[in-house]
Amino acid sequence: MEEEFIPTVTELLANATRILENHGYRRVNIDITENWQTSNVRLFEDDYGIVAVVVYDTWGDLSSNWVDAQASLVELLSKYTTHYDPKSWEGYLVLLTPSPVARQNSLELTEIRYDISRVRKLVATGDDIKTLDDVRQILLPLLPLKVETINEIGESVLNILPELLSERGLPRKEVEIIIDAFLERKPIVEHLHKYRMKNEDKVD
Amino acid sequence: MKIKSIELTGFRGFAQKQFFDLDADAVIVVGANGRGKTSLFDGILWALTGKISRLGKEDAILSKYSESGEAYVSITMRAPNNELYIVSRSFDGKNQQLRLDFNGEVVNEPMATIKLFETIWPEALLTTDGALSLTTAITRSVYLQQDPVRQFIEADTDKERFEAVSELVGAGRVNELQMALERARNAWSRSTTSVLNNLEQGRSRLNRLKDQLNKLSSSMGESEVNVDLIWAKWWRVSLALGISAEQVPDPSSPEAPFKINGAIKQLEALRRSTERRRDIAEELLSEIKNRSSMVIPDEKAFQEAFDKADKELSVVRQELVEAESQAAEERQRQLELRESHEELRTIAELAIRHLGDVCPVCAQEYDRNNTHKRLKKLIGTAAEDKTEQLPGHQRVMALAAVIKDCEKARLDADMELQKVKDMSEENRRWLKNRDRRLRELGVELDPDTNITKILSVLVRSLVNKADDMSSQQEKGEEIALMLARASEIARRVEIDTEIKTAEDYVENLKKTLKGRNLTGDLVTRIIDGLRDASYFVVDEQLGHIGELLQWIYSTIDPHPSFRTVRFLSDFYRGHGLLDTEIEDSSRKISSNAPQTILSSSQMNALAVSIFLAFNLSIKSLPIQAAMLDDPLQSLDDVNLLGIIDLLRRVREKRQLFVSTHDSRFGQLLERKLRPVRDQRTVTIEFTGWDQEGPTVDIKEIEPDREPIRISA
Repeated sequence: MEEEFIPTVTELLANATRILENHGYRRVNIDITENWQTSNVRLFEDDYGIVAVVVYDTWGDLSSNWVDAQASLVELLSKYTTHYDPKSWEGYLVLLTPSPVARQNSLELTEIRYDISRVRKLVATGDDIKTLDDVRQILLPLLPLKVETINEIGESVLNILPELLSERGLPRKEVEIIIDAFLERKPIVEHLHKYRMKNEDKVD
Repeated sequence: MKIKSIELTGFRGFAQKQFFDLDADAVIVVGANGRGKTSLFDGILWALTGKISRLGKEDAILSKYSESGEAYVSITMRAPNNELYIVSRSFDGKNQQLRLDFNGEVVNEPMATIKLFETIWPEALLTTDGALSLTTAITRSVYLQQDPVRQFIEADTDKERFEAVSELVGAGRVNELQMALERARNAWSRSTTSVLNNLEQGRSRLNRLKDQLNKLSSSMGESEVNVDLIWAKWWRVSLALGISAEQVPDPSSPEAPFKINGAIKQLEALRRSTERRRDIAEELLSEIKNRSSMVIPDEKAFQEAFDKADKELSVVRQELVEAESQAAEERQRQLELRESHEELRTIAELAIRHLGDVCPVCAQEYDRNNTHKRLKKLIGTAAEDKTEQLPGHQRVMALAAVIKDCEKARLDADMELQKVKDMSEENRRWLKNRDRRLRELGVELDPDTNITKILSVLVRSLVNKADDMSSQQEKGEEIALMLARASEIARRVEIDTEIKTAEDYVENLKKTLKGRNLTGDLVTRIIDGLRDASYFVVDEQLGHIGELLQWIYSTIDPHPSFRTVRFLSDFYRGHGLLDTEIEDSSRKISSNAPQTILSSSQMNALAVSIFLAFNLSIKSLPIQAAMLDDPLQSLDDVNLLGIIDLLRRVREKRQLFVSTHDSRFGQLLERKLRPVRDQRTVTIEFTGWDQEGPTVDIKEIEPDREPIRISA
């Protein structure tokens, strides 16, 4: 039986840090240990907001301490922004724990997630984090959109045809020849035939 | 292409002309319902497409308070290269007019629509209703309208969803390629049929050539003879025999058969002429020999004999004339006597009947018996007159017999004379004829000539010459045959070459046909592949869009357990089908009817996710913008925050237009979408509305030039 992956607090914190820094967030290097009462916290900032990532060993720790963490984040925002500064409204609290949540506690988890009274909370437990990559999924609302636009309409849709049709047993190069002729408004079949004959001669 | 500004007049809620500067990264439109937010967004849609489907009638866009009775919207767009494109559309209640000003180049209808499609949505040109295609593209991926926000998930069928996505991802080009290929294949097939016909003709010609070769080969059993050796000699002899030829041709020349044919005909004519002369000479010689014993009588003696007989006949005829005259006189006299006797006999017969005792006339006595006897005698005398032959008559008869003899003698003499004359004449004519024939034969008439001897020599000469010509004719025919055979040999060589050429031609055509058929078969397979490819293209593109959809859905994170979303596509009976499926990955529970699981707020979040997934995935949108008309309705707080955070990220990729009826949401949007560094955000607030249109307060959000507060 495959052993279930359970990330450590350090792994979660390191991974969250890497992900955020890779997506334009700056890590805030100030001494926050005292205020936050835990070393498993990281602060980040980008143009729009300030993010606090706090990792707890257990769901119980998270459940007990997230309010303090929120208070610490609000205090930090108050310290560095004014009330009229839009950024003062842009605090995000990421609460992580590798431990799963007991069924009886799932309602509390939902309530934390839906509580937007002071800052927006992103919460994930061992039920959500099966791999380190799942941390990225949790942080998605904070990350810039990774948009890979699909191919250009028209020509580039045709560009995927050779691969598509070759997977279905049709010769890739011949399909490319046909598409090229079609796009260049050349006689399609004549173009293909010319290529085939030339290719046949080479084989001969 | 981004929107720089818009001007509206008489359009929906804008009775009077209003201009809006939209040249910003984000445009926030705030205002209570009914104050013109949607009209502003609709203005952009209508200017580009001329359609707002959800309004129904076309004239629904016309403001009831329009002074001119005309609706007019003009939007100015800016291309990435900063060129300006102005699209102006007007509607007078009946007809629309579109006018484009593309970087200074003005285009009016009917080209304006085509030019617009070419510029912002070429896919529209491939469909039967280009405006509808453009409208669909915009409403599916650019302009999320307030009412149909969840239509894609809830109202559309799986087939309609697939078709909508097909247009968005450009699968229409695949269909166009398929149709173009089908047309090209049909033309190719016709051309291939033409090649096949040429092949059949080539094969037929090849068979004919082989038949010809077989026939030639079967007639080529005899050994070949070198014609050159006898050719010149034959012509020398023939020329000597009298044929004429300007120039003796080479036996291998094409005209050689015709030349020798002409020469043989000449020989034939000469031979016939020689034989005719020979016959004439032989006949003449025979006549001369036959006449050598013939004696022609002296005509004079016969003439004299005739003259004598003629004279004797004349004399007798004269005598006869005289005798006839004399006989006539005697006959006259006899006639008169006979009349006298007849009268006396009549009297006598009367007297006898009246004979009495006395004469009745004179009453004298008479001898009655004697009288009776005399009377009887008179009657008897009359009867004797009838048989008497007169001497003159006898002499005439005698002379007539003599004349008859004389006439016969004269006739005989005349006949003899004519016979002699005829003989003499016939002889003269023969001599004349003989002389003519001799001249024709070339024999000189000389008194000393021995015609018989000359003719005999001539006959022998002509016989020999005719024999020579006949022999030469036969030789000529043999040579002609040789030439024909030589020609056949040449023809066989020629046909061999033609067969080789024809075989090459047929082989080339077979190869061509095989190649063309293989190409045609491949094209057919590709066409079949393309029929399914539309689905696979869409499916492939949906794979990419699906990844972004999941990202966006996770960013909003609307549901605590159904956190996975994907597109489910299928291909059924030639049609693509598309559903949206959500899944609780931890418990492996899924549903392709999200509305049965998600709350209204969560459904809106999913609808916005799908819209933005299409908007951000498709690079070639008609305009590089995302327009969301009041998307925050019916959203709970967490989903609302999630969407707004997402829109902030969308703003980095697209020009963002978002409206809200709630001023608090408006303030939230202003904070969340505040510009940083060089960005620009504009808030358009519709503060009121009257018959002239909305009252507007436009506010530019101050950019955050130094957005980093702590980590700086």
